[in-house]
Formats: sequence, structure tokens, C-alpha cells
Amino acid sequence: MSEVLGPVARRRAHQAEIEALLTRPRGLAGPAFGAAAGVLGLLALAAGVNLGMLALGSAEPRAKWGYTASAVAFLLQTFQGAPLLALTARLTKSLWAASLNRIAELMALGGLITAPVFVLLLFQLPDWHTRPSIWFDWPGAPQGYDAAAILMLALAGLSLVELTTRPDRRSANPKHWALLDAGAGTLGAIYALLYVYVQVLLMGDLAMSLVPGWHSAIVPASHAIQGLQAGFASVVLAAALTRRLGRVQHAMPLDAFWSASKLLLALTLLFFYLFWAEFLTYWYGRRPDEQTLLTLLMFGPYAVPFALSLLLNFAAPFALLIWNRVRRSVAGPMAAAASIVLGSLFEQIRLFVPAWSLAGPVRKELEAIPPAVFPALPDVLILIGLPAAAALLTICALRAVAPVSIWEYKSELLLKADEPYLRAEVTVLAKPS
Amino acid sequence: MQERAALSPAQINGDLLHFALKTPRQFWIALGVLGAIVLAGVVSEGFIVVLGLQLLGLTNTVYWSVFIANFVFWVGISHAGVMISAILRLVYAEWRRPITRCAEVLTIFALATAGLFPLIHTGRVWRTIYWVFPYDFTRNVWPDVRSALIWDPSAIVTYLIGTILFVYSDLLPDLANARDRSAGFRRRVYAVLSLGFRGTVRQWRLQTIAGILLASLILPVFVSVHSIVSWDFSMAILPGWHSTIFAPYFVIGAIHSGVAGVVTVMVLVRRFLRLEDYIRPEHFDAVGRLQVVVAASWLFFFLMDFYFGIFSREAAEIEVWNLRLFTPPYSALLLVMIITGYLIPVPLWLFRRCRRSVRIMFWTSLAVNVALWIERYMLVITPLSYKEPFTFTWVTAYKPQPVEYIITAAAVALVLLGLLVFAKLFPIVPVWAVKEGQVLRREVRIGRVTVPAVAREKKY
Amino acid sequence: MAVVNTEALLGIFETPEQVAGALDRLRADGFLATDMTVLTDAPYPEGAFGEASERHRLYVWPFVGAACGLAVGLLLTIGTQISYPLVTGGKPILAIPPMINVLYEGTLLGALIMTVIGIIFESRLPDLSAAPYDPRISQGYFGVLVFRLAGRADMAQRALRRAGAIDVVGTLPSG
Repeated sequence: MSEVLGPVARRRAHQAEIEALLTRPRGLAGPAFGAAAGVLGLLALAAGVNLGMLALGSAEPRAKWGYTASAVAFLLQTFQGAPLLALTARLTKSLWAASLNRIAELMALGGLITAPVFVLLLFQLPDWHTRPSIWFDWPGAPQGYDAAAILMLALAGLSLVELTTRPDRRSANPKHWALLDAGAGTLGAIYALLYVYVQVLLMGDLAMSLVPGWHSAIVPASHAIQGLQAGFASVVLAAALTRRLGRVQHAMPLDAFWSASKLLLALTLLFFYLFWAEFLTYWYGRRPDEQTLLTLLMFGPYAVPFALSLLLNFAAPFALLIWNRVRRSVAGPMAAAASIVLGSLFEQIRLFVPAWSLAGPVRKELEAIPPAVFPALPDVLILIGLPAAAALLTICALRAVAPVSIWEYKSELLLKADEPYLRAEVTVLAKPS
Repeated sequence: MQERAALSPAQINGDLLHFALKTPRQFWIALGVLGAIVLAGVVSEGFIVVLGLQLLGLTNTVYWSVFIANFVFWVGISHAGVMISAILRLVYAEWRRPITRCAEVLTIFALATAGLFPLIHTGRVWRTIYWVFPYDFTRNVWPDVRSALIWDPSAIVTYLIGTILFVYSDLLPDLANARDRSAGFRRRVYAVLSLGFRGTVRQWRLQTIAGILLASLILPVFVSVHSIVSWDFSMAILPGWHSTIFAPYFVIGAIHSGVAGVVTVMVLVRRFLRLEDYIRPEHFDAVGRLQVVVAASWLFFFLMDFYFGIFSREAAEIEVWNLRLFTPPYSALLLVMIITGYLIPVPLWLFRRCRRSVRIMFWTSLAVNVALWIERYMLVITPLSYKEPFTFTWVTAYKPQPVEYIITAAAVALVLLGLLVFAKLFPIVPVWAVKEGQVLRREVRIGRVTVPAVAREKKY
Repeated sequence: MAVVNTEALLGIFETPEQVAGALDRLRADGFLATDMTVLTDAPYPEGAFGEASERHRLYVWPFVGAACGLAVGLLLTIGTQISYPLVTGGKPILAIPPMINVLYEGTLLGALIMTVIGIIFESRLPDLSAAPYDPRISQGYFGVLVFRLAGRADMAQRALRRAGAIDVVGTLPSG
């Protein structure tokens, strides 16, 4: 799994060539792009049609919305979690992420799919009066506040895409750069805060409030952190695919994947830690209501998605990423990322499908565990079609802007260079204040 | 960010080994004062052993008090070392260099002090040791592994031993340096401790790898220790304690207080050892930026604990929060906690000028630790103070007694005493790491500006 | 590269460039890369002086330690629970989740202890050899230690002096 790399000096020499590569029609050329767009478009259309049919049908049973809620949560974790990689990298001034930032930010376009479906789901919620929630029967809650939050998140994502792609779309003067620097940081912080806020609302209102007796304080926080893991994994996966299919290997060097894989390993361990914190607290106390919750969400009818989630989000990526040789490649992190993305889907299924299968009048406690709700064909089409729609938006965007941010790539070349030192060679990293 | 002055190795040796090799008068004064406070704590503990736990303010329901709050607080402070040292080593942050060792040493003494409190709080200390130690001393009773109170010693002992070994292996080159700069008995002691370290290529290679490897191994321990301490509470089915969020909440609170503790120690070391060339405003700036993120995360977890505590509408949980929010003295304490832990420090830390001010960073770090101590106090006391239907108390609220105040003060003095003695015997700022920073220091010309830079080994 | 042969010379230099030059000269004179090492007061980038790459097995030690720690943890947790089989809090006699916490700590403690032992061992410490050393090394000077001289002491000394050594100290066999 090793790869021959050219040193930065060679990259500098090929700068013009690489820029030409980045600015020519990107991603897939002609018919291949058309085929990909066609397939994704058809899947998206199928999802849209099925969503429409669900919405036009009767309000009950609300369990029919379980897989839609899972798909929305999956998009929030993957596509809308992706920009957090770019934000974290800019905050910590990490040069290694320069070649991944563009893909990470473009994935925020998934918000255009998440937001309307999220709002649609809000209006499928059962009666909120006297329901245990964070809203305490405030007027307009939860629909008004949740809708505002998800729309603001989508808008923040779009603004981020517009701002950070601007230098590649038109020429810039020093004032523009100052604005970009300040704007990217501020907008990034706003996006991150909104993201966490939306996760709290998602888990609080679209999951926990529907299940009698479920009030685990860690769930919103752990879901947000798992969003980081899934988001970062999505970026690695998308970047690896773009690198191969777009033939931009020189602009997306190995060290970006190597550094990203270390972050993925840390987040994988964090996934298990957060799961363990919740599980152990419920398991230990032996309270009947908590034992029932454990059965519902982990060891009962949804044991298979739970086991798959644990395997794909933790066991498999951990087993892969713990080896430095695997991390120091593109295929290794890509495989781990694919595992995490798939695991994220199963995780959302095991959280939201049981929750929506219990959506109904307010109850004090969960008397009986409902049987598992298996996906019907419309559910499968929605689960595949909504991410396909988000992916379609992303690859269309890659036709308009380069897959690697040219201005960040040039910054990286300015700030990083290999130099001889005595009888060896070192990498010199400039650290401007 | 990188404003390192060019310093010669001889100057670095002189500045950083000065306090270890010479004994100024202020050392004896500080030793005396801190020793006296610690002695007062020992005497108070003696009274507790002889006269019993009646000297404390314990009530029928509040059986864990200030001592357990102290235990949790000092375990929290001990997270400083790994946060600063291990994580910053793994990300190759250059600004870590002068502060890693004081953070690690703070960890050791904070953890050792924390470990005293579970013993002190039981009164008859020797029985606690029998109960916890994994050997059947008497009556065929073994420690119950299923108890969260047994997970504590396993975590704390692991963390303590791990950190001591981490510090020792990092100290080897500096012990060799001290050996070369001293004479007589002192030289022989340093020579033995340094194991003959010479600075060969092999030894430095392994030192470098050791730093990364040990940092990677100790990070999982760091996360687990305060999680296990939190499970002492959350495993109990007590309203206010039985919450799934306690593990990450405690860890982030520990990081918050620990980093603030490191800032306090940085200021003291810079001031009293006259290390202004080594611990510079840029270091406080970097730590301050980290603290903004940590403080925001801490507030988030606090709010999650609050919102999802009352989410359930369970009467008992709401009663505990009523006690915290609306019943004095807890309501006043909560207000102080939010103000000193977040509302004052974080807005200040948002400004670069404030982050670079040593004075502001010192006082905000103390404010944060006041807030976090109050947080631990509230976490321990308020759920226990909630009146269960079938229990009653003779007093309306738990009040700490004089021995509890004295022992709390003695704990602070003990940690500072430990730091003082360590700094007297060994260099508190890693000499070799600072020298390495000088070796790797570069400057790059970009257009008309000269930008500080750092050289890194090429990985491939 | 354990320096067990006391027949050795140490050249003291002022700059790292001189050190690199000294190693070049010594290699040109027929000394092997494994017959010399550089002494510094701080780590330098690997290969900076043209020295041989150091092979080590440090990465094995944490795994061995972790295995030992896990074994001890299993012994303790299973042993104590079986020795005193009392059902507490409705949990089974061999309760896996609590055991995992203790096993986790035991595994990491084992890994940490063995890693530090490994660092000391692989660094060839404690160094009880009588190989020459000079306190000026930790004052910022550089040392080039040449051993396994095999009668080439004069050649080594000349190479070190020509490379700019300000001093050459050493231990040579008598006679």
C-alpha cells in the first residue's frame, strides 16, 4: 500500500501543470459524468417520488417515517459533518488538510437536501403537548425552532461554499484575502455551533422525545461527535474517489490521507468510548426502564443494525487504522472511511426506526418492546436516494470549481518546502502568526 | 506565534538548571510556609483518625462531602499533564516545549494528593486499604470488581505509575545534563538516575520515539481515569448522579481545570524561576486559544446535563435542579461557578491582547479553578441533599467544618510543595526539548516578510 | 551499537557541519558506519550527520506488556469474583462490563511499564561501559565517538583533527 511521492519541490516545478489539471473540466469527463449524474439523478428522483407519496398518505402509522428520519440523520452526519474537517484544519492552521478542504466544504451542499426533508419530518411528529422534551410546551415548538435551526445550518453551509470558492472563481486583492480569512473563521465557527445545536434538536425531538423513558443526556453530544467521525470519513472517501477518478494525485498527496487517518483513528476510539459511557450507566443500575431501553436499542429487535454499527464504526476501522503502514496509504484510510460511512447508516437506523415506531401519544413508560420495522422498497429507495441526491449536487459542483482549492494549494506551497540539512533533508513549515 | 529568541546551549543550561543546582533563600521560605500548611492538614487528619468523622459536617444523607469534591477536583487537575504534554506532542505543536514537564509533574502531585482523599474520607484509613488492596488480608473478603469504587484505584494507580514513568523517561537527558553540571554527592545521585545517558544518536532516536509512543499509550488512560471517577457517581441510581453524560462531562471539566492549573503553574515558574525567555506570552496565547474551545465544550456538557436531566420531568431530578438553581447557598454557588468558569474568562480569552497578558491569564486560571471546585462540590453535595421521602436530616443543609477547610487548603499546599521540591531537584522546564526547538528553528522569507518556521524530519 | 570495547576515541567539535564532515572522513578511511556514533545535547533530524540508521525493536515491548497486563487483569478479576461469589446489585458473578474497565487499565499499565523498560533497554542503558565522554557535550559541543579502533587509533585521530576537532579524548589499550 505504499506510493511514490514527489517532493514539494517537484510539485512547485509542476505548479502550472497542476493548475491546468485542476481547472480543466473536472471530475469525470463527458459520458462518464453523464452516466454518474444520470444514475444518481434517477435514485434521487425515486427518493423524491416516494417521499411525496409518504407525505400525501395518511398521518398514521408514523413508523413509516423511521427510515426517512434515518436517511436525514445520515446526511447530517456525513455530508453536513464533512465541512467540520476544513474548519478544524483552518482553526489549527494544519497545512496537511489543504488538499481536502474543498471536497469537505462542497459536501455542505447536502444541506439543500437535508433541510426540506427535516422540515417535512417535523410536521409528521405526533402531538407535542405535555411530551417530555427540552421545549416545555413553548408555543411553536418544536417545529418552528427546529426548522429555523436546520435552515440556518444549510444557509451557513452554502455561505461557506460561496466564500471559500470565491478566490478560485475570480481574482482577489489583499482586501479580499483579509475578508476571506476573517470570514472563513467566523463562518466556520458559526457552522460548528449550529451543527452541534441541530444535533441536539435532532436527537432530542426526532428520537428521544418519541420513546417513553429515553432521556439519555449523552446522546446528543455523542451523536454530534459521531457526526465528526462520519463527516471526516466521508471526506476521506470522497477525496480518495475524486483523486482516482479525477486524476489529481499530485494535488492530493499521501500525507493528507495519512494525517486524516490519525484523526479518524482518534474519532473511532471516541465512538466506542461514548457508546460505552451510555451502555455501562444503563447496564449497571438494573433499572427496569433502562434495561428495556437497552433491549429496544441494542440487544432486542435492532440487535443486527447495532452489531453492524459497532463492527463498522469501531472494530473494523480500529483494526485497520492501528497499523501505521495502513494509515500511510490511500487505500487503507479509504477502506476504513467506507466502513465508517456504512456503519453510520446502520447507527441511524437503529436509533431512529425504533423511535418512530413508537411515535404516538405521550406515555409515561415503555410497557412493551415493539417488533422490528423492516424496510420496504420505498424505504430502501429513500435511504439510497437522499444521499444520491446530495452526491449529485456535490459532483455537479465539482464541474464548476476545482476539486482541490487552488488558493489553499498555493498557500501550502508557499508555506511548506523540503530543504537539505547537513546530510539529510527536512521539511520546513512556515508558521505565520 | 513562533517568536523564539536564539539561545545558546550554554545559556539554556544556565537558565534552566540554575534553580536545581543552586538553592536561593526564597526556596526555604516557600518550603517553610507550604510545609506549615501541610502540617496543619496532617494534624487535622490526626484529629479525624482519633476522634472520628463527627468532626466533619456529614449528615444522614450527605455522606460524601468536601473530601470527595477535593478528590474529584484534584483528579481533574491531574489531567493537565496529558492534555498539554501528550496531545501536543502527537500534533508536534512547537509551543509545548517549555511547559510539558511542569504539566506532567503537576499531574503526578495532583493525582497523589487526590489519592489521599478516598482514604481520609473514610476515617479509619487502614480499613480502606484492606478493602481496596487486591489481596485477601482477612475474612475471605476480596475487592468486588463489580463496584465502581474498585475501578477507581485501578485507574488512578495506572495513571500515576504511567505518568511517573513518562516523566522519568523524558527526564533522562536532563539528568545527564545535571550530572555534567554538578559535583560531589549531587553528581553521584544524578549519575545513577541518568543511567549513563550520553546523548548518542540511538539514545536520542529512542527518546523521540518514546515521547510519541508513551503519549499515545497514556492518552487512553487519561480519558478513562476521570470517566471511571465519574462512574462512582453515575453508577448509583441517585437523581442528579445517574446520568449517562457524566463520563465525558467530567473529562472535559478535568481538561478545563487542568489546563487552567497548568497556566497557574506556568506563571509561578516563569515569575519565581525568572524564565521569561522560555515561558513567553506566545505560550499563554496558545493555551488561551485552547481554553476557549475547552470552556465552550464544558459549558455545552453542563447544559446537556441540565436540559436532559429535567427533560424526563421526573420529580426527583427536577427537585435536585431546583436545589441547585433556586436554593441558597447552592444558587449563589452556581452563579459564581458560571461567572468565574465561563462568563468572565472566555470573553477575555477571545482577545489576543488578553491571552498574551500573563497577569490576566493568571487570574482567569485561578477563577476557572474556583469555578470547577464549586462544580465538583455541587455535583457531590446537591443530589445527596435532596430529601428522600423516608429519610430526614437534623440540619437543613450540609456545612463544611473547620477540619475540612484546613485539609482542603493543605491539599493545595501539598501539590505546590511537591512542585517546589521537584523543581529544586530536577529542571522543571525540559532542557533538551528547548534545545531541540532551537535546532529545528528556522526563518523563511516570503516576499518582503520573514516568517518563523520549524524544520521537521521528512517522513518519507 | 553497544560500546563494549573500551578502545575508543571521542572528537569534540563546535558545529554540526564539522561533525558531518568528520563522519565522511572516517568512512573514507575505512571505518564502518557501525563503528562510530555522534553525541549531542539535543536530538537532530535522523540522518543529519550521515550516520547509520538505528534499528530497534521498541514497538514489540508495548504489545508484550499489554498481553502481560491483560493476563494479570484477567487473573485478578476472574479470581476475585470466583473466590467470593456474591451476587451484588443483580449483576452476574462474572460480570463482563465491570471487568472490561479493570482489564483495560491493566492492559495499559502493562503496556506503559514494558514500554519504558523497552526504552531503557533499547537505549542500551544503564551504560556501564568506559567509553569516553566529555561534559562539554551537554554544553552545546558535539562529539564523534569512534570505537572498535583495531589498531587504527592514529588514523582516527588524524581524521578527527582534520575535520576540525578542538579536542580528542579517548581510552586506548596500554602498551
